[in-house]
Amino acid sequence: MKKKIISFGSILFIVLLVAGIILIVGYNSMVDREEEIESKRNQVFNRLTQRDNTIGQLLGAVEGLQEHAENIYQMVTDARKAFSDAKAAGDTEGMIEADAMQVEAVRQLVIIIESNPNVNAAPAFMTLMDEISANENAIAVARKDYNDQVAEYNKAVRKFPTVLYASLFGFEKNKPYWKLDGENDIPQIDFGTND
Amino acid sequence: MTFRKSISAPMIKNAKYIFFISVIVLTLISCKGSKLPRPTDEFYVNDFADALSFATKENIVYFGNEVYEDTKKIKEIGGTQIVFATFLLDDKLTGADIDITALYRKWGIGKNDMGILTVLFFEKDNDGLLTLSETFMEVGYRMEQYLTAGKMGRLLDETVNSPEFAYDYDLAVAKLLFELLVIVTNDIYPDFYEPFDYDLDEFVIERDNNIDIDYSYGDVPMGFFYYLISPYSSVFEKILLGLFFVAFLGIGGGGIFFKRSRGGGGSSGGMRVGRRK
Repeated sequence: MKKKIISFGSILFIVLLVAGIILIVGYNSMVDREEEIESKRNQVFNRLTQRDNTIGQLLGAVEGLQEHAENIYQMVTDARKAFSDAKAAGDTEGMIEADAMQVEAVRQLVIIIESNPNVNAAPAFMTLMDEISANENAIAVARKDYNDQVAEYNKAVRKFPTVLYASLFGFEKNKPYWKLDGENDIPQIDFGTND
Repeated sequence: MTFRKSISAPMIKNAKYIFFISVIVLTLISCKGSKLPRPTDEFYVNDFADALSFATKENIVYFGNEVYEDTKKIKEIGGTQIVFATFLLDDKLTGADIDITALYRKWGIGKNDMGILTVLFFEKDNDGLLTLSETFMEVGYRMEQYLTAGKMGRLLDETVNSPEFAYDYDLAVAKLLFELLVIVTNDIYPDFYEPFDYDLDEFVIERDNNIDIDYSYGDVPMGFFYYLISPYSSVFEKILLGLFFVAFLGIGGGGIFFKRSRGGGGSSGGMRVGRRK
């Protein structure tokens, strides 16, 4: 009888030990995943800040935009304000909205500059176009990296055995993706590949 | 009554075979899929379109290796790698198949994210001659501060996209390499190097003297085994290699040797400029 109790105790100890190890390893890996998402989000923020700075330089390099394309000028300044407000508040949702506004504003800005001879661009214009084009690509990569990381996290949190303790430790179940409204309708800005 | 069953010798033998076959099958499964090639053994030049002259390829490899070996010990900004790749677009391969950022990351260009990757896409015209259709230049995270998008655009405009080199893209690539070396010596490591100087006419003489050299150089992806032990393969693939290695030794194999990998392990954030002809 005593022998049976000892062997039951040993088995229980081993089971608890294994469960404990799984719990610790699982918890740590979820923390790592959350930190990685944070790092990827910061990367998107940095890229958006770069874009905002380049738009500022582009506006400075273009003469006569306000007179000839008042609505586009307003769109660009609104998008920049939305971005700066969201950035100040650290608001990810607001940042995603500002991102979408900026994409459209930049696209319209480029179209108006290229098609309107009354709007003059400084010699630095082509350089700035390259900067914007390259940055748009980098933003797309940063968004994808972020979304890939979120997808990995969301999958992990729903899988066994993480699903058993994820809510216990307060891990969010469905982290939102960085998805722009009507993303498929936004044409890719690829003027950098043109002559 | 007992549920214990002794494990017999034939069972162990069968298990060995099953394990060995499983490892091989898994390894083969992991090989398929991506259209992104492995880098060549020369690493710095990956002329899959067979578009560049021997002299250009030799210069790319020579200077690429020298810059990397010279600078890899420099803290934070050391380990610059300048890599070129050419692809021939046809019915089987389109530009969309080559994700340049993914290629950059797969090859792990540049230590400390100090890499530069130039990708040239070629097409064949009606006469079967190669024509350059698109060029892209992408830099690693830390290289962005030295080689901005504006600078990359200017470099491409003055080399591969310049009318001056409309009929000699090979020379344009050589000039692009030399201009990148000027940036490396003057802007990135001014305290380490004398300013790089070059004479394009001299290069043309060198190239024309070697024009008949026509052997495989920098246009064959590295062998699968080298790929597995290099930094370009995934952890999963490395684990498979480990299992394969154990199984290989288990059946009496051996004789494995290693080759030094070339990539510095860098990554890119997709900062890229392109030009279409």
